[in-house]
Amino acid sequence: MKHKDKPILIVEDLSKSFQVNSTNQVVLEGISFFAMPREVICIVGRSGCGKTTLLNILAGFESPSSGHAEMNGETIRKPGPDRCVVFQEDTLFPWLTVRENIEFGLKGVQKKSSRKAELNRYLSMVGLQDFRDYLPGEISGGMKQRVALARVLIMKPQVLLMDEPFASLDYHTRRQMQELLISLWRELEHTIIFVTHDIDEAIMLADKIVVMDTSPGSIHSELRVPLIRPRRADKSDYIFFRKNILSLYEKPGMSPRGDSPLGISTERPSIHTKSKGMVDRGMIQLKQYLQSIKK
Amino acid sequence: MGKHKSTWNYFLPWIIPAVFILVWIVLTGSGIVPHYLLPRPSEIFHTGYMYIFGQPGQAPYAGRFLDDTTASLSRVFLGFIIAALLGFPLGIISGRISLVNSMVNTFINGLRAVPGITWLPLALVWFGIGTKTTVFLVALAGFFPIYINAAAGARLINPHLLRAGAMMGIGRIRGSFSILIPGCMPHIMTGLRLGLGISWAYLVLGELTGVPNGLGAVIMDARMLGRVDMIIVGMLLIAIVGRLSDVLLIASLKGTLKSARRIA
Repeated sequence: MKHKDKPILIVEDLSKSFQVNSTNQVVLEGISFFAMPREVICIVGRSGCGKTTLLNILAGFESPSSGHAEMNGETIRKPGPDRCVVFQEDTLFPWLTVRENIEFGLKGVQKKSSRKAELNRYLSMVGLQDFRDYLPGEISGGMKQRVALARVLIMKPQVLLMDEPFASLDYHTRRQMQELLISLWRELEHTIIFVTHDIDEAIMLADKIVVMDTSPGSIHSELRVPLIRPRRADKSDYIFFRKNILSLYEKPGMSPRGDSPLGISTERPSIHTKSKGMVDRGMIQLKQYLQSIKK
Repeated sequence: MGKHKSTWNYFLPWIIPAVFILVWIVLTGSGIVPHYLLPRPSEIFHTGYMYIFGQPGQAPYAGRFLDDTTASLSRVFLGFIIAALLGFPLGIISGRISLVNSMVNTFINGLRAVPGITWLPLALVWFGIGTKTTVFLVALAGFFPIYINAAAGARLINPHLLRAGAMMGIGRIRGSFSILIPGCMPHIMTGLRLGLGISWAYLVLGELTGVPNGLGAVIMDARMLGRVDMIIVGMLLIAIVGRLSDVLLIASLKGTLKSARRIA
């Protein structure tokens, strides 16, 4: 059961360091943020800022050096089907067909008859009914990522973790996949943590954008994205928001408490702040400005 | 155009052997190469025919083919199975668990450096003349390529495949059989094929020791009698039977395993 007024995912003062050639390399430092149920959060940052390491910790593939991450009140210690990952690279099982890849996680868990119904449902959701018997080597990159999506969504995860899943796709395929992701999200109501280096992709998808700094990876700022879906890159509110966030994003040295030119708050929210009733000064100012330019 | 291309491809592998036989006929027919060094292809063919289809007693090696081939095949098969049962799981575990790798790798690679022929006297002391020595040598030789390739495959598998399994809640044991082994199948198959190939090589070494039957035994026996034609027949039959066993290995793996059929 989802508790709509409690965060589903909490990351508290998380740090991670690795031993590299007998020196201690700090990859993540003091990461704190939270995700509400059914929220789409995009984590953006330059290469090397530790986005993937953070996602690996949330997935349970790695453990933090200090601090912790918890889901539904329980510390994340190992991977599980409640937090499934879509990776950037092709990670489909190459010896299994599209159909066999998608139903892989259900084998041994569900009976064949109910598995078949689920399989057909998710195949049609991602539009791959005609390719069910193809091998991964026989389909395109976009189709592979659709299979990867279906493979994790069939497990009905509460949180979907995505590590630059569309980075290797061409522009049009990427746009198609973004639209597919949002339409699936509307239907299945999971939480999405989406790592990307592409700020446009983040604006297109996110309810909240977490901007990360590099060396070591830390949170620079968090921004709510007040744009109504469906979002289009040629709409004025999109263009305005994009311009504003870019000015913020391109100044990594800026104080985390400094305001952008239009007063959008860049304060790091405390994890103890309740989302219900939270006043976002920046959001109100943005709405007022948008109303003023429409007249 | 397509039909023409496939016909041409069918004949392609046989061009070099045909040229080889042609040169052989010319060299032996013209007397350039003396008869005692290299018999004529027609004599080879006749000896081979008698060896396979003749009745015992008709000629010195007549009708022995089935008996010799069965004996050799059973020794290779037994030795190969032992090599696979030891090499394959140890290789996979060694490839995934660095502690195991650290413990066994130096020892195994050291052992591998010792040539098979130097094991022969020790094998004779331990097992005496006979099938046991041959099987021991075959298993020893086959073990190394199977182990090394299985370990390499397990080490090189895309770690995301294993992570994908973990996130789906698939445990280590099930993950090993449903993800790790299929994912390594190209390496596993290479190792098994190399292991089988080298098994045939060491079969002949093992059958030198004086076993009563076998393709290797008949070659060594023919050498002592100066029957070069029979030596060549034996060698050709080992090549053919060895190649057929390779084909059988591939077919049985592809027939039973999806991963062998689809990615190896």
